[in-house]
Amino acid sequence: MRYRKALLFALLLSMLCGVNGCGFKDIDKRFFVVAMGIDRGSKPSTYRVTLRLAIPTSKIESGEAKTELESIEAPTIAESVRHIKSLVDKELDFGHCRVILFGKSLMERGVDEPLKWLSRRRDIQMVAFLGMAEPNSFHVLKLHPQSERYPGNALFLSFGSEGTESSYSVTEYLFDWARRQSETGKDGYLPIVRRDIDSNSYRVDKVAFLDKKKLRLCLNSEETQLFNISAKHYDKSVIAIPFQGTRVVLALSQVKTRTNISHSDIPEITFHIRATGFMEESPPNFLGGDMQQIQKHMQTEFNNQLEDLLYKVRDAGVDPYGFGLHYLATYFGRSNEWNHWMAAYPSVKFHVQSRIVIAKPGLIR
Amino acid sequence: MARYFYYHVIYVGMINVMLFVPWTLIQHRFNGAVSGMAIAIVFGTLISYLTISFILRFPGMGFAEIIRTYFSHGVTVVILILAAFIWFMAGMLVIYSYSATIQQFFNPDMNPYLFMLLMTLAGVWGASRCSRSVQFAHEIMMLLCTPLILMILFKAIFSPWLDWDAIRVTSGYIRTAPSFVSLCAATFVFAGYNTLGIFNRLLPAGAKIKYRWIIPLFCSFFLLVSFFIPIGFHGTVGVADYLYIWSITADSMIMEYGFVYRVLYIFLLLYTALSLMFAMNTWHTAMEFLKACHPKHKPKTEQFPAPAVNWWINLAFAILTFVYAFWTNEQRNQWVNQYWLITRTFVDITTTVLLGWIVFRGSRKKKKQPPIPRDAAVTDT
Amino acid sequence: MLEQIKNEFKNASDLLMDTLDNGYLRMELAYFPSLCDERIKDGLLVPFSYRFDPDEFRRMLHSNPKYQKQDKSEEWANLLLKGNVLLEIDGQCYSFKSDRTFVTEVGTTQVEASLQGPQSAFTEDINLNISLVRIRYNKSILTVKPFDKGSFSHTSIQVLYDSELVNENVLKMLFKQMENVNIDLLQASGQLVKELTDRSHRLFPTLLQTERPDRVAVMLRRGKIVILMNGSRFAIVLPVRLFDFMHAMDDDYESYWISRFLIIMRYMAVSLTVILPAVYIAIVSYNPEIFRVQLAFTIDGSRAGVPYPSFVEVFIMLFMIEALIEASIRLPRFVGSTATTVGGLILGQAAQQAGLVSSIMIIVTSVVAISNFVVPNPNFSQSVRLMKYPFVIIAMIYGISGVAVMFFAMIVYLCSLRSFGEPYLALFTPKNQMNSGHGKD
Repeated sequence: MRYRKALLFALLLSMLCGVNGCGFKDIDKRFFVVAMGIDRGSKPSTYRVTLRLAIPTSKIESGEAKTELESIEAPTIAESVRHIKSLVDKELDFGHCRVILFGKSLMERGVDEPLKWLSRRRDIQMVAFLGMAEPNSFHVLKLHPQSERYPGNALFLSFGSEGTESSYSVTEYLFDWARRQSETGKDGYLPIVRRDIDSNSYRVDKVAFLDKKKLRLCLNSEETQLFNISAKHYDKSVIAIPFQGTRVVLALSQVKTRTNISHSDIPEITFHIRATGFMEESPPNFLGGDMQQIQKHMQTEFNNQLEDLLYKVRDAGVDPYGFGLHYLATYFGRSNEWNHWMAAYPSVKFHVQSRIVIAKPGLIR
Repeated sequence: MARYFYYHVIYVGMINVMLFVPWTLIQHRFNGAVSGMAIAIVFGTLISYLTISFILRFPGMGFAEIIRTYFSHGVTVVILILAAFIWFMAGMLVIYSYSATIQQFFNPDMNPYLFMLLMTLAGVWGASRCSRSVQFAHEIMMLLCTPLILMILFKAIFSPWLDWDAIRVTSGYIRTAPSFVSLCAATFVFAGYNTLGIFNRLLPAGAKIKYRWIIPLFCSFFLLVSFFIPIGFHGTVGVADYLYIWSITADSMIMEYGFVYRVLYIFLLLYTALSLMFAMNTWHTAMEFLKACHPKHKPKTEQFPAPAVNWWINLAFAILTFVYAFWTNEQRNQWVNQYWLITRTFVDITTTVLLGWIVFRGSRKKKKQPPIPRDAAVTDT
Repeated sequence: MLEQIKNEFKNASDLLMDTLDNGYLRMELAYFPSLCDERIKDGLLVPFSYRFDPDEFRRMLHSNPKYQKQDKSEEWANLLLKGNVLLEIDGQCYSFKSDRTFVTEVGTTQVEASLQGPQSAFTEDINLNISLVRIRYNKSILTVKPFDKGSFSHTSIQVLYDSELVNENVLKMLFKQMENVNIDLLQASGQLVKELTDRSHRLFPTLLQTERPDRVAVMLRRGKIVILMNGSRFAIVLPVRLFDFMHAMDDDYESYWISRFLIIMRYMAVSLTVILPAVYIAIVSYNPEIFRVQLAFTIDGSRAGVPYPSFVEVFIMLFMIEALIEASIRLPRFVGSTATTVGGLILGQAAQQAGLVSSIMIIVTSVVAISNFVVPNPNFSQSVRLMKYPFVIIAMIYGISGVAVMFFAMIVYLCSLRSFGEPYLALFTPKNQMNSGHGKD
């Protein structure tokens, strides 16, 4: 028994000696990348990679978070990341990289290669938030918001639903974007991140649409909210309709949509949407007024708004709603149906049938 | 006691992720995976029902004892060694794949053999225990892991990011002719009943296995989930790009208010336990088969401390695993996996036919009662 | 008689030997005054001297159960050492049982305290202990079997069991094992436990030691066997399962939901104390991306000044806490609190401020220490205390995945243990079985 124990112990010891080389790296020897930006380089076919690195402190106070910004240009992303490693004193760790931004100029050229790099790296989270930076990601990442409590949290919170929940900002994860980049009948979208005018916070209130290759369309913030309601069922938003000289504002509490696509030569898409909510801004004496009439008016106005948006998206040649995939799913289609859809999509017709229900008039009459 | 049996059924249903079953199916998703799965559900249920009822006719006897009563020693040894090889391969493949996964996601800088060493040592440690201890440990690990794994699965099913259109498009391909590989791969999910070949020794005489509907219900659930959820998360096209398909799928989910933010890590830790359980069970079974090759072997389900022969056989398994690891790489491993899945299906069918034949012979010679179980096979009462 | 005794006890100057003569009768008398109590006066000396009546005296010798005829001369020495008085009248030798009992009061629980349960505990006197058990287990089927172990100490041992409920196999195994006990000085129940365990190197106790008579009664009712030993405050219970060690008697006395809550909390605390230091190393040195980003930055910030790798930090703190625990057990009670204050408060605070350890590590250490004491059984608590080191070592090499593998190995180890042939860790063993335990959690 004794010599066995001794052998076992010796084995353990020899294993311990082998430890040093095997990825043992203390947390204080690591530099956490909290956000990453990929831009087009100054020369053709180069990339400019910007990393925002966290400098942790034991004190946690608003505005006290310290970060470091490193940026370098190289022919590929992998090379520039390696090059940045030579600029910093600790090992880069992408494990907490929650935000990845693409510069607008890069998006106009195409983002195939960056996507490949991102999917291949094991340490890039598939649930990282993606966004398009305007004018470029270096400019956006340079911003140091006042409210930041620990490094990079202002950006995380603007995207996710943990912090602010704004109906103007859409959320896109890496895995979803990767799927949309290859899926038949579904195209990608990215939120647009800008600096606020007074340069103390980020501004995420627009959305950009891409086809499989590059950027095709950017929506304004009103349309972005409409997209958020109709495509993402985002229910913490408002519908605002002009009515008898004032604006009626309905705060939504529940959104349901359903799409029917007809199986004709030129498919017709009927988009059903049912929105329930309560009044936030209404004409005085709302209950005394004709509620039905207001509802009806809102429905027609909303139909028009949404139809305009859908046609705009269609004309840009993108399909972020996934109508094509839904068409295939409805009719269990294969490549024939897919070819038919591709040919027909530029001329499909949209019908929006909305049902707006004012559940509560708010707290006052 | 039948609950021990269902633990095996359920965890084999869940381990398919580590044996490239979803990967194989997804590669064939447009040419015959869906129809293959449909057939596999019927076929797997049928073959498991048949085998269970055959084996239950020999109370307290393992597969080795059953065939020994009807075949000569030489034939028995050949059959047992073949069976042991198939079982051992299962554990080896899972250990290799899991070590590779862990190396990818947890310790990318680590020497790949170092983590495999730990996994094989844990496998050897677990498998060399006596059958009864294996069963107890199995139950505890199952009860610890299954709720969390089911939680992850249900989280995936109810995730708003799951694209049901993509799932519907893929399921539309049920009209294609089934592909053979995907049929074999899908049948594996139902293979949990096979462990009865050893653990029947522990079932008390006269034990009935009730609630057999659990097999088709749970196994079909696991089969469908492990195929369709990745498609729902990564699209009909994109899904084929990923090698570690389920790890990536788990990474596509977050727990906003959880202690651990990324589901991936919970998933990997749970599958550590599941893979080790699988290795423990398969190697234990293979070991028992090899031990039964000895003509005077008496099966014992309760041995404390574990005899030295257990250690040696399992150490041999561990060394073989390392030999395999030196030889193989990603492509070879997938190739071996596919052929293992196919061979396993045939072995399953052969086993069922063999047992059916023995039962048939036994019922014809009714005067000769099947031998009573040896007293050494103490049942778990 | 006296001659023979004198030969055997040559140097025992405390042995009192005398020949008394009251005019009618001569009596040879030998005893150890230090081992015998005052009963000798009323029981022997008074009837023999000034209240002497030859008939009555003879009747007393034959009828009083304290007097026994002793014909075998080789047992005399032993009887004397056990506190008997030997006397010889008319060539016939008698013994008079007059052993001194030091303990006459029931003890109070010291290591297995209970909030509202009985506070009485076993004492170091075996007769009192048996009476404590008999009071609680008031049935005729309670069997008591005496043994005498220890070639120099001659410690008396009693094996108690319910003859209807007991598992015969276990009993047979125990008696076989009892024969193998080979020990010189048997002074504590722990020694007996070691001798009865078939393999000496065990990480977890497979025999339960308890000082609570109520626990012993509950265990007897479950068909378990209890060993009482003279000179030890602890009874040994066998066979036991892991759940018995994690069971506090209060769980039986509290209301259902509260006891469930306490049991679950206890198991969580044990897993915490075992894996937390290992998880700290794994998180800090291998996979800081596992937990939330806030936590990573907090740990990073607090570790900024620590000069050496995480495992050294963990070993420093664990060593400090182990030393502190050990010191507070050994120190006299009134100094003990000083040690805790100095060690816990001042040293911890100073170590953190000096930048030797991170503040997160201080929290980890205190959680580990506190959780460890949640375990109701001191033996098991020690095992748990030891178990965290394998985890720490494996975490040093493999990170968090190594911890998961180690956890699996530990479960397998526990499941493979046997306590007198009965499984040590197994869930849902059938209730109708004699030796099934209680816990299912």
